Amino acid sequence: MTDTLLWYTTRGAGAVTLVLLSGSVVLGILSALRVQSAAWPRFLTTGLHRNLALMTLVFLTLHIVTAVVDPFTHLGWLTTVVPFSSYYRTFWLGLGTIAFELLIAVVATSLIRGFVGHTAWRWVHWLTYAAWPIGVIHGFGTGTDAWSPWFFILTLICVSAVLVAIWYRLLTGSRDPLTTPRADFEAAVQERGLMGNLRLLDGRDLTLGTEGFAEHVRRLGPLPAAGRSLIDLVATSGLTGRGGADYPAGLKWRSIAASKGSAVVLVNGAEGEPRSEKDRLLMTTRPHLILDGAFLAAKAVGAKRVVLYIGERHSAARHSMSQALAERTEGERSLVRTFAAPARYVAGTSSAAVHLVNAGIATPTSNPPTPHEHGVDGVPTLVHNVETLAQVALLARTGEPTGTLLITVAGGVLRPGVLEVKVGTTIAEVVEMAGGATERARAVLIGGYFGGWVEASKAPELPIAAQALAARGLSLGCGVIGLLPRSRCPVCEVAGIMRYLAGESSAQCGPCFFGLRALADACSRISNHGSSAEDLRRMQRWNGDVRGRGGCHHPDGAVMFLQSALETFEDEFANHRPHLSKSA
Amino acid sequence: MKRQLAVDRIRCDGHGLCAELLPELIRLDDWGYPIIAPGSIPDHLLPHAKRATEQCPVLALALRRAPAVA
Repeated sequence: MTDTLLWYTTRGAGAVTLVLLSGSVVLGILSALRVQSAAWPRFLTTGLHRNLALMTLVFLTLHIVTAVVDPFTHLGWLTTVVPFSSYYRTFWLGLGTIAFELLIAVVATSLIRGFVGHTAWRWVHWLTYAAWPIGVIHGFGTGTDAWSPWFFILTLICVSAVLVAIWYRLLTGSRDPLTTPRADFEAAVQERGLMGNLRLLDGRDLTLGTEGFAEHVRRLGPLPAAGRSLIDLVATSGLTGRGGADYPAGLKWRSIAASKGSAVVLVNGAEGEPRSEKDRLLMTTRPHLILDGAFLAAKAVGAKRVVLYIGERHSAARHSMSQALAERTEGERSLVRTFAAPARYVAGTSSAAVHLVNAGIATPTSNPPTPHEHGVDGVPTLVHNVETLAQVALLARTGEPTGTLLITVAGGVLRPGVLEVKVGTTIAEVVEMAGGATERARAVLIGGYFGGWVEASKAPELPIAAQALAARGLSLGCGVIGLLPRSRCPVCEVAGIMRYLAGESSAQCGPCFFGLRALADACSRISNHGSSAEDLRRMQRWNGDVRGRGGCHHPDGAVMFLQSALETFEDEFANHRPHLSKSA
Repeated sequence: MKRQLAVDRIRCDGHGLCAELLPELIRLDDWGYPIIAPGSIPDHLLPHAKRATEQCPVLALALRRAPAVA
């Protein structure tokens, strides 16, 4: 009697396992497809998927235990773990053992998903597609009930349900709306060198030429032997990053010097900001200053490798840097590797630079960890803009900060280009140094495309100094000062820049990719078809929604730019009429 | 110890389960990506917040220690 009960339980539990497992597989596929309706929220799909999977394991255990303790088969416990070890229906029971073990792996990794990480968990989860068919074949092949109508129909229903779900999934493909743009982005990164459609301010002749090593040493003396003492000097000098973030250099140096093991210095000459020219000018004309800074930094923080990361479009800068490197000692040369930065706005982000060196993809990565915690090859990496390192080279020699910075003056001035100015120089003075305005300016853009607009009437007295600008809600960024003449239409100008920034999203984060595109579309609508109160309201709301919701600061910079434009050009945005000719 | 919710923006694919499970603190933007209410999680919502982090299909939502407020 007990034997019969056990035998029926084994078979019954096996059938229930088949149904539960198939149900769980179907739900898993549905959750990947993001099936959702008012009556069926998405957490129901995943919740049921998990609970069915756990119930599968319960009935599977019942199925196995009753089969093993059944004195008729006397399978022995070894059969439950070692496939093909039973004398009884060796092949078919072996399949059952394999399916059981695969399911254990899938369920166990799911329970500790937070611990094993998403990538590893996902790989193991693919095993379901092996476990399920093996289990089905085991059930059918073992054969006791295979051809009894109830079991046959049950199997048929389960198999067709799963096959329909799989077929549907293959047909619909991944529903991740970012997948296609991401692939486009990577293709664009690869092709960028051939396309040449980036609106770089095509540079004037860089007539100053390159300073060679002999001349450099004659002028400044050899590389000073500063070592670790340089860290304190950098920290107390108040030197901050000149790539745009204005982050205190001393904090990064101390953090890296305090970490154990090797480190890397990454020299960032990507200069992805279209309006900026100062990094290129520096690399082209004073490469040894940058190399000095890089080697001094490497020595100070204990780095054994230096990475040069130079914008692929900046060919004069790349040429000059490699020539300069060839003039250095064998020992210094052996430390350095050079990488080309794709001509994308986000490629200059420090985590994108590290990502390119590690994986060949210049997209930002999640922060934390920061590059100075976990950078090139996983070791702490000191990422500095070329200008920052050139400042270090002079600081190490004189012990005094230069008190100057490089800016690029662009737009409506007679001599646009790079200037070295003392911190605190006013906008009016800078405009004068650049030959004066070509005509009356409507507004000034401070900090480039991630910067903010200021009314021309309020701009002249503003000082070029990070703290003073920050107090007014502005940022110097990478140091671009752009004058917008009155003859240009601010709305169309802003719409063009927003279109550019939206296109430069690396398409990794939804709020940035979709949000900036929607904002750029709204700007274009106003630019092409005239003002719309509805679009202006939407832009205000989206500006608030998008801010602070990217993996890097790309959306923040773009939103800050647009917000200041909407405030500065409030009248123009509210009363814009489409232009008759496109030249305006 | 106070906790707060943090989204790994690069990993987040906008599945939207978190907003279904914790509408008190999470809403979705116009494109289906979560907007987290600022500040730390009230104690009575902590179990729900935990559940939301566990249910995220791509593990993009996490509980972090909230910075101490003076």
